[in-house]
Amino acid sequence: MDSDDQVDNPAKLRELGTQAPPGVKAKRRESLDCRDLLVGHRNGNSEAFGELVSRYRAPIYSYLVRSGIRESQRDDVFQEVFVKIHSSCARYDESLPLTPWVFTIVVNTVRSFYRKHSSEEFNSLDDESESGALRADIPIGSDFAQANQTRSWIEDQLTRLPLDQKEAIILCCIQNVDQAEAATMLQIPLGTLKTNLRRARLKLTEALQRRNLLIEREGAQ
Amino acid sequence: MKTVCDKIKEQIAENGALILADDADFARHVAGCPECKQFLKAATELDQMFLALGELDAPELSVSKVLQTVGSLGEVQMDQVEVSQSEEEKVSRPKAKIEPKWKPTPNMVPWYRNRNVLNGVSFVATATFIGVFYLRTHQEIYFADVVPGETSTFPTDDRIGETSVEAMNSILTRAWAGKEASPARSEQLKSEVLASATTANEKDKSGGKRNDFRDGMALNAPGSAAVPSAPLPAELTKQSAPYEIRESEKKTKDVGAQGAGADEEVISGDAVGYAEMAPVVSQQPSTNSAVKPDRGGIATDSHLRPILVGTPAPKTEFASGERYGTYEENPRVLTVQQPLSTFSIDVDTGSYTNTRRFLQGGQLPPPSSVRIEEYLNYFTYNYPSANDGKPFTFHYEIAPSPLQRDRHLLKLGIKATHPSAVNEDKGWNLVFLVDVSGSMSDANKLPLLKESLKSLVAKMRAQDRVAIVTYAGETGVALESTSGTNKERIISVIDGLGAGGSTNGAGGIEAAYRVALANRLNDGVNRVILATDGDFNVGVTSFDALVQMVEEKRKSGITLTTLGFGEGNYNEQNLEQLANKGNGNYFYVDSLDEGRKILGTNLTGNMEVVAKDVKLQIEFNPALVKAYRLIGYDNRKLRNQDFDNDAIDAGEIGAGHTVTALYEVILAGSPLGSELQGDSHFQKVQPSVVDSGAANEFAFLKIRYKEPNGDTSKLLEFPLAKGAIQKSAADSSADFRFAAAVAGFGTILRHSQYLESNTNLAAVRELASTALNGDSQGERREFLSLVGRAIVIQDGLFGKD
Repeated sequence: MDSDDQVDNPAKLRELGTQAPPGVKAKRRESLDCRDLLVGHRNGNSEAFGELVSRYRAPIYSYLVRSGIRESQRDDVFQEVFVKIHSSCARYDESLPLTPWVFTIVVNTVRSFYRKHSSEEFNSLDDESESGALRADIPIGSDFAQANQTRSWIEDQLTRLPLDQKEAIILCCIQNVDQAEAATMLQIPLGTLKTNLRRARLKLTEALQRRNLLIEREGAQ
Repeated sequence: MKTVCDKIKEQIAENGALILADDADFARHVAGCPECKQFLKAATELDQMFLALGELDAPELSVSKVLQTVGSLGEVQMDQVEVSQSEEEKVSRPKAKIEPKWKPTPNMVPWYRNRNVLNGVSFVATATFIGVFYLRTHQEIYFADVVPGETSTFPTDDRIGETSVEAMNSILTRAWAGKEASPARSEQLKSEVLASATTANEKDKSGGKRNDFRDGMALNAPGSAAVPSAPLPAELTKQSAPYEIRESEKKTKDVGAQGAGADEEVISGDAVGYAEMAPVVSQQPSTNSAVKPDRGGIATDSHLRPILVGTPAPKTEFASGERYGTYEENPRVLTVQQPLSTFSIDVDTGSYTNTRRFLQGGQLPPPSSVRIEEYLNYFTYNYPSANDGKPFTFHYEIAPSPLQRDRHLLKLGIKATHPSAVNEDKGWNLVFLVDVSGSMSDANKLPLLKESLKSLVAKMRAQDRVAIVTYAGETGVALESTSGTNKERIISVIDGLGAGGSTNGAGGIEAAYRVALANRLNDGVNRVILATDGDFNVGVTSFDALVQMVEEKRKSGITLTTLGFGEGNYNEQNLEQLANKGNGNYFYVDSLDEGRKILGTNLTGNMEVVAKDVKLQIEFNPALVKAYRLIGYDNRKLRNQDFDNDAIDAGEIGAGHTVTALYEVILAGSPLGSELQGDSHFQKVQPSVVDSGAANEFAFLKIRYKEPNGDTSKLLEFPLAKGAIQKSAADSSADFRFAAAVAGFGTILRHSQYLESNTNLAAVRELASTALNGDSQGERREFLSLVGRAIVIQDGLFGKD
């Protein structure tokens, strides 16, 4: 196998996938499951919650970013999630896995955030065929710049999806959560989740297709 | 009415980057439809973007802020703890996993990078495994979900599936939006959902034709009704499933309505929501139990997204035109009756890559296509190289068989001198004989060969020459023998190769040998490389005459390698035999990676013969070994008297090649196999004289080989010490266990008569997973995932539970 194929090497990827979250020593990660942390926190272990936060901060934070919560409000929502985890941890059943429980809280927090801020409209791909096309029309620079543009393009498109589709895409496609598990977190039936996923993908793929065409045309000129 | 394109798009959207299996119509449509092509490309790019997005780390600032706030809130009040969950609820909750479960494996190639896809070759692109796509070769397309009961989510029959699901979703969405959460409204919604569910369910029964698995995407709808459907796994035909799902949606809606009003009390809403979800999820207990059990490579490597797998259609359908030689398995032999076992080495690997092609297409390979020795030799083992001037080194290992009781396995390994030790100045005179008949136009044939050839051209040096002869209706020399200094010319000729016409192999091969002879290098490699997809149509000449010719040319120093491509009318037996007689190798090229490996990375080894006519003869000591059986090498056995006969042809070994052979050995003291029991009176005949010097040897190995240009053989001898017999399989090396797993895999797929009841695919996978050390090229992990795939296919894709 060529060295540039390394990314496809499952061993390597598996290794990456099991790496401890940043700031957490692998050793500790093995010895202490996340749910033990919450239980520990419940029982008054003062370090446990800090550890829990550092475990979940990356997935939760990225969920918040991808759901389109603005930077100015992100910290507040992030904090709100953990405050809720703290104040409802007494109700956590430790025989169950923690992640779905945590993400149920995250999902609900984001939902209620959007309910409160419903006046702040956020665009969806549905209602802006014009501006969407304009968005796609990004000048082409170097490869590097283009990669960055692609990235910001997809991030931008994600924020334009309706909330339910956004939720589905973030959990299932970006965070790679099992669909059944994601349905539990989102408190919707699996069927609905799949429908949402399908619609979101259809929209995004069509948008990307349009974008590719634009870029191609521009390249030809 | 939806167009075909719309339906394809919807499927792509549902399943992520699409994987095309063996449906030619499908592939043809996508290949011929720029719109679908672009869409598919965009979908694949989208998937890669998602992969790239990954997780973001939170700024340190937020984290410390959180800790500060939470710290100020004080300790948790334990009296808040509710112990209200019944045992039943606890049991029915899904067991969730946090680890990301989907990662691409080397097999998963984005479709547009692998041209195979457009031709519908069985292969898997970027994908995984929740909804399993089910394509049926050339006939119909089936879609099925691995989640029994989730049938309602498919874009099935427009009138039934879609509308009812659509309707319910809109109802539920409204409910969640919190705008219609009054109790009265809630009741109304509930009845609406129920009504829609019942209607749909009744339609099911009355219509009687609804088939969630025969998707609306009937690309070849006209005429497809006449096609007999393949039997579906029992779980899939379960009729009650759609109703159950709708019930669950209703319940969920209750939860949604409840939570929706409680804006400020989201926290309690969270808890309730989660608890209430339990029964809903429990309605699909099999969601978790049926999909997730560790079913090997597929399930573990690729949990989340759908994968497209060809239908396990009747084997004859797929392989109708393919021909494989059938050979008797080497029998189990009583040592007292025949202590000598003789065979020729074989470094071919085609059978393994061919099997990979089948498995990736969702089928088990035909048993007769399985050659265990080619499986074994596909892999790299950690044998030290020779440094004593001999062309190769010999290694052996013996330990109890990890997969069988009362059996030992003896593993013999030969490693040839590494390419770096080979004379660098030796030139190559290669003549490619390329089949350009019409059937080669498929993307996985000629285009694949052309790409692979380019990797060879890149490695050419000034002293190397390459020529290209094409054959079809008529034979032509496309490229006269050209030196490696003129790469542009070679590339441009390769680019210009196109397919058309019918095959006349004999004319072509004569022309190729003529070109090779005209450019013969006295101390270099002179080889004709035949690339074809099938029947090597020999025109007026018989196959035997062709074989004779190849043998004749071999004497003038021109060897023959064969490359097999594609499927359908693939004729493995011919290609293997020709390569055999031509002192070359036979390869099956199933992917660009494989093509590059053969003609690029491993080219030196494949072209530079370091020893020819390599024969092995092993003599077992009857005092220690009761019986033995050579695993594989079924068509490589030699008569014992031919070992010393230099006129008898045998296999070659190329630079850096390794050859591995396994013997199943029954040591004294272990029970014999049942088929030998009838001979029990022989066992009373104890070997009367055991040479005292040999008492510590359980076997004695002799190897004969010739130098690449020599005519007389040389003999090497190795005693195999009794002391080397390991006590337990666990002590054996990773290479040993891996080889045992590979042999077990082949034994199962071959439907071997020596297959024992406790040897199954799951055991093979488990064994192989303990033997991944030294897997520098990812081959062993790929093997593991292939075994996983075989398990899924064998279980009818959906498990036996």
